[in-house]
Amino acid sequence: MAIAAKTERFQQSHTVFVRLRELFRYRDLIRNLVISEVKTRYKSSVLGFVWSLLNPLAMMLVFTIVFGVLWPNQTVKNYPIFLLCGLLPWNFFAASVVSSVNSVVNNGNLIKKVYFPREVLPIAAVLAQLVNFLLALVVLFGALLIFHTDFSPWLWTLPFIILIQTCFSLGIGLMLSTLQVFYRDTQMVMEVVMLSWFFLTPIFYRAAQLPETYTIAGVEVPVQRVLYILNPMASLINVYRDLLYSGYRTDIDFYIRTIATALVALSVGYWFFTRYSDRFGEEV
Amino acid sequence: MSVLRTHHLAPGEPLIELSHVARRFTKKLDRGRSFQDLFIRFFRHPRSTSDDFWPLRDFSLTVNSGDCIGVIGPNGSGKSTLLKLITGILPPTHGDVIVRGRVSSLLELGAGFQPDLTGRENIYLNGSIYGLNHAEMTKRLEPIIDYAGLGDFIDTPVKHYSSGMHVRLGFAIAIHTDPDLLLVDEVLAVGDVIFQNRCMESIYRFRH
Repeated sequence: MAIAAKTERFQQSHTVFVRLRELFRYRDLIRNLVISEVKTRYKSSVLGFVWSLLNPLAMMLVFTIVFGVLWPNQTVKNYPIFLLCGLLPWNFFAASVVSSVNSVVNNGNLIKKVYFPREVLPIAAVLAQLVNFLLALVVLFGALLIFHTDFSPWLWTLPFIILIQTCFSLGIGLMLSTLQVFYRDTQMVMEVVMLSWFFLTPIFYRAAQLPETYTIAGVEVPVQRVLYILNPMASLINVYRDLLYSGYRTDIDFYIRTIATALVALSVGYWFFTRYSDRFGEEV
Repeated sequence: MSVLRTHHLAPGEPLIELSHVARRFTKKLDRGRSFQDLFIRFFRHPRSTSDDFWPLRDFSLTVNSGDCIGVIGPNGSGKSTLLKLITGILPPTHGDVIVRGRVSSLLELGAGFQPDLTGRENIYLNGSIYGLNHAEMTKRLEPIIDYAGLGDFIDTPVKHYSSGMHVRLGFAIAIHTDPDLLLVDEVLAVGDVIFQNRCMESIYRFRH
């Protein structure tokens, strides 16, 4: 059949390229979805956007009371700032994952009626959180100036770190939003995983406060190294803190490792999403 | 199975080519993925393949530029499925689909409206769902508002619109996207007589 030959030839060489080009054609849709998400998030609330700042500030207060007053064994200087430097990036990650998981399912009505590249939905969900994070970051910088922390001479790498984190979150988001279409358990599992992940990431403590090694069944495990290798968010938060709080130059292997992890997550997530997105129209 | 969609018209080539297209649905779409369902199924007879349902089988169609085609049939005969295969919402189970040019579908008007945004904001959002960019929508903004006849309501959040206003705005956007291919489902059954006549007029004009 002539048509079959035509389409086959077309598909073989161009699939990923064609998809990405189509996604680019729909960039205004991503933009509009982000704007609409940011605009409507705090509609009919009195404080509006202030909520996205009050939330981390309230958490900062809680942790400062718990680890500064109730259980004062902290050796960290400027604990509230130390905490915020880890908490804000974490919140960006957690919010991205949570909102992208449901991005496809919640737009089921749209998916059944109109064709557009489905990956637009999780991308817009993550980018809307990025906008929030950037706004919160402005406030964080204000706090940093007040508390006079040492800015790192490598501060200019911050946008790259944010980009890396966005790619990583998007990769996870693409994967989970696909799973959520077929298995609604995804969200339930994710809630538990995110809570554990929060505690296993050095956000309200320093990785250096963990024991250097730990012996499990006779095997000595280098806890800190394992933490950084197994948990990409630990590395990322560590970099944020080096740049904003401690004024270090982060070791280059942290950059390489996070870039590699983010790229792997993004490609696997994208592959997984596009492999199944054809079926969203009937499954959602 | 293969699908080819391009946004550019190829002169001399048909807009739509469907060859030997078939589409399968499973009657019980909820295929029981939970453990509970698996457990229940363990004690039941295995389901037969008669659960499959084929609204379209070995269906071929060529649509050229300027063609106006109506599809009629009873409920469940696959009319909407055909439209969904053409728009790309569903992939075919077998067969090949080629669609050239920009497709605009009136499958459900205002499907992508965000209730909290105003009519004007929704025009941009909806336009981008159809694949138009910001500048292209700005050009069409005034004609769309005129056509929908919403007047001052254009800056009111869409959630406060009456269902007629909702449909009018949805149709106005869809018809102004200048599609190469306009797919119309039963949506025009809504709206008052005056607006219905106007819609029909637009569709006739679209043919020429």
